[in-house]
Amino acid sequence: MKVQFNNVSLSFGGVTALHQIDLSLSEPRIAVIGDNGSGKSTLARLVNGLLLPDEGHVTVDGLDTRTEAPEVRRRVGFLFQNPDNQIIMPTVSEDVAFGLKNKRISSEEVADRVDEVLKRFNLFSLRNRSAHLLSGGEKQLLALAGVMVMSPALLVLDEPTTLLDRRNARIVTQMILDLDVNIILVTHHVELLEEFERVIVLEDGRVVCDGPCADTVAFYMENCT
Amino acid sequence: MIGYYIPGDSFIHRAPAGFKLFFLAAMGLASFSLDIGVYFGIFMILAVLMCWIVGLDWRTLKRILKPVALVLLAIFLAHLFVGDFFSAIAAVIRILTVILFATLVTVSTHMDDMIEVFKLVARPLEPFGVKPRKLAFLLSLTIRLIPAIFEILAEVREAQKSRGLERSVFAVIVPFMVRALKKADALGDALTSRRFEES
Amino acid sequence: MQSRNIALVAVFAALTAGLGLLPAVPVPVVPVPITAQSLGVMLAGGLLGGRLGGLALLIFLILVALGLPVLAGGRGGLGVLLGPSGGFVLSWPVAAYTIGWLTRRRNWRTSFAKVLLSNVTGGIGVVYLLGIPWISITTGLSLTQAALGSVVFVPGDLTKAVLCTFLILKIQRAYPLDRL
Repeated sequence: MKVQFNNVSLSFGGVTALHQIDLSLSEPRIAVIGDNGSGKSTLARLVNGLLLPDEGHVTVDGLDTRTEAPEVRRRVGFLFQNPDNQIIMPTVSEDVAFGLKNKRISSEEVADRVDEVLKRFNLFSLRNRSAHLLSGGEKQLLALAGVMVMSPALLVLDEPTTLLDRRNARIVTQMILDLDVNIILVTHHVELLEEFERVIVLEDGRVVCDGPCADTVAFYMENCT
Repeated sequence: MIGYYIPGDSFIHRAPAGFKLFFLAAMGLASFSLDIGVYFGIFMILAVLMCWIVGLDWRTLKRILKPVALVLLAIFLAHLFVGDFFSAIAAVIRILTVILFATLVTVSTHMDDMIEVFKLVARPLEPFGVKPRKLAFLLSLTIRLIPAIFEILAEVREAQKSRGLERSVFAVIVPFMVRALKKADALGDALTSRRFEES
Repeated sequence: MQSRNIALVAVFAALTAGLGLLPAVPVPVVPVPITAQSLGVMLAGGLLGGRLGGLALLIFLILVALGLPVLAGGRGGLGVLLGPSGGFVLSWPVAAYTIGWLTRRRNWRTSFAKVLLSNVTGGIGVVYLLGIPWISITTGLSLTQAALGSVVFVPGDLTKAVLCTFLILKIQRAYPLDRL
């Protein structure tokens, strides 16, 4: 699983969000950190083709996001910051099943896979509950379940715990770290990053530091905060 | 989201939704073409009998019919004013019976079954670009959003309450709409990321 | 983009239900307190355009038909739609489509007078055009009688149309939607 950024630039309404980014991402755990406005959310959305670069191109396993976004999204799952804006069906199990309903799979197999994933994320007992009644942490786990049930090869997460209280943030983070999938995590919670092989620091749309966790975080704390 | 569904196992509950809706349409038509004496005799009794079968008790019925009562009274008086007592009563009976049958269908049919019927009804429209499955999804998505939207409204009103503005249309509706639009954008992103467009 | 359109339609259908929760506002001079729910019709048409706005109100209508108590006052079900006042609600998808279609013609969107005209034509004209005959059909009253009975609501609806014109322009400034 390799994500490649080639000379990628992107602006919104005259403001440059990313400037000539060149990156080759293949480590199992990569973190992208930076302050608000650094371009980290924009970077995340370029990986699954939610945004397209103004210049340059982004490829995932050789697939260009401009021309093959659907194929890219088969391999890349995305988790957003706000749990509530990712849940699209009225009940827990319906929401997890959503992505599977479109494939040619029997309803028994859909039910099996949904149950399996629900148990994995400790949501099985809530399966018939109205999704709206879940806590923030539970909603985020539900969103995660809905993404993971599709077996992506790479998971991009845009500040998944920022809106959660500390207890739920810890639970969700642990769930994420236990996943058996490549991760690109955008965050400004640097305490979470001990187990990450590579940390990239963005500032004003440029990469200002890129390397092993300890060094990069030290750099970030010194220069960017 | 609670609807008006009354749980039960009567033959009316178990009847297919499409059949019930067809029956309702037939009743509606009949109410305008049959002699009012015959109509009153047969269908009013039928409606009351079915209410009992479905389990529609007087209290629930009162709750559902309460908003209509004033309108019925207004119509009764209007007819009385321009015509005679007989036409006034006939008008009220017609409306009441149709409403009763319609209510019977609503309280005895699962939402999912009704959605299935809508999917069926939408099928002839497929050549015009209507996709029944997408329509059904749109209904589910809206149902899922209703409590969330209500919450946004409540939050906005609460916030404006502290400034004494909760009764101002502008102070409530503009922020409410902006938040709703932001939610729509975020949901659009989530749908795209979850590969909705390929279904 | 298809996903965004689906999301917008669903959100507008849901917010029309939400507007039904707002209390009716008594307005001086106007004999009947005005409810906020029909604002949803004009907002959907004015902000989303004809196709999506009409679809949003159609979805709302289907939810009412399904039995959800989303009409102002916690009402819902087929009974309300087939009753005398049902015609007004049944007209909403057509009204929203009309408003959207009128506002999108050339550069109508940004002009106050033209948005107001669309709101009045669609939000009042179309609604009464369909609602009044429905009263006549369901109650046996003549069209004239039905029309006379409905006249008391017109001042309130005109106020709403003006209000909504301001709202649409304000919302578009606060959160502009790209051409859909």
